[in-house]
Amino acid sequence: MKEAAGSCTHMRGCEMYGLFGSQTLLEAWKERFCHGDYTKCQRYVRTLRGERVPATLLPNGMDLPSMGKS
Amino acid sequence: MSDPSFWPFWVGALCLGGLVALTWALERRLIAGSGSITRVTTALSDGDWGAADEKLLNDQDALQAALMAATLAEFGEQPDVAAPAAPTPPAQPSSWAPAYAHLVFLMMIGVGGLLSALQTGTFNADWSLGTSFNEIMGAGPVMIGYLVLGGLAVGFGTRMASGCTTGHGLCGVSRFQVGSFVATGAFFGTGIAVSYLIEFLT
Repeated sequence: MKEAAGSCTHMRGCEMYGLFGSQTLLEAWKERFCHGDYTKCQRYVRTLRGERVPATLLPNGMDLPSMGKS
Repeated sequence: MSDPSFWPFWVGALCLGGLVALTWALERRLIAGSGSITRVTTALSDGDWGAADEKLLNDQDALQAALMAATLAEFGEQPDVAAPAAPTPPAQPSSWAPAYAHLVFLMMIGVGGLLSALQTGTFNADWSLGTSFNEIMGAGPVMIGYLVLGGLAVGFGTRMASGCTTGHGLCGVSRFQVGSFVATGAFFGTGIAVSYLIEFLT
């Protein structure tokens, strides 16, 4: 997959992007994925495949509810 | 004079506009008919109706705890991040809702039609789509075959256009989205053209 340039084109309407602004520490997600190599974001990848994107799916492919249980 | 067998057009306009405004005011999301069908069929397929996601998203403490745990797991104890130069913009509109909410939305479309038919006294269980339609498309299995093909074409088109008359026509146009103007023009333009074509053929 080609290296992404610029910011993710799917930020508008992305439930996860809004959540990443709630605390400074969470900005790391934006730097790595939203404004970094967004082609590695699993939300972006799934959207391109036409697959369902759960609201709680993290860019690295992990699901938030499973993180809450750990 | 309006046809007494239907509710006046402005009742439908008020209901649809009110639904869009109310959904946005209460849930900060947009309605999407084809998206709802997709979500419900996917839930029927994978069994995930979104209840767990909804519970987490509505529990701010649990949500923040899960986010922090995920962040530390991905980036380590102290991710090297700079404070944002500007505050994050408010959440943008999305169509996310648990699948059962989409199911209720789709069921209410039928309930609305039923209420209208009952109120005007025109309710009648009938599979006919009209004499003009039958003259061109035939009846029985042939007609059903055409309807299935039409449904597949509509499904393909709405996926390709990322929306249908609800998402683009109601929500997109009201938000002045250029793509929605193009899509809605294509939907209704094609509908008007086909209507004239049927009129011409019959």
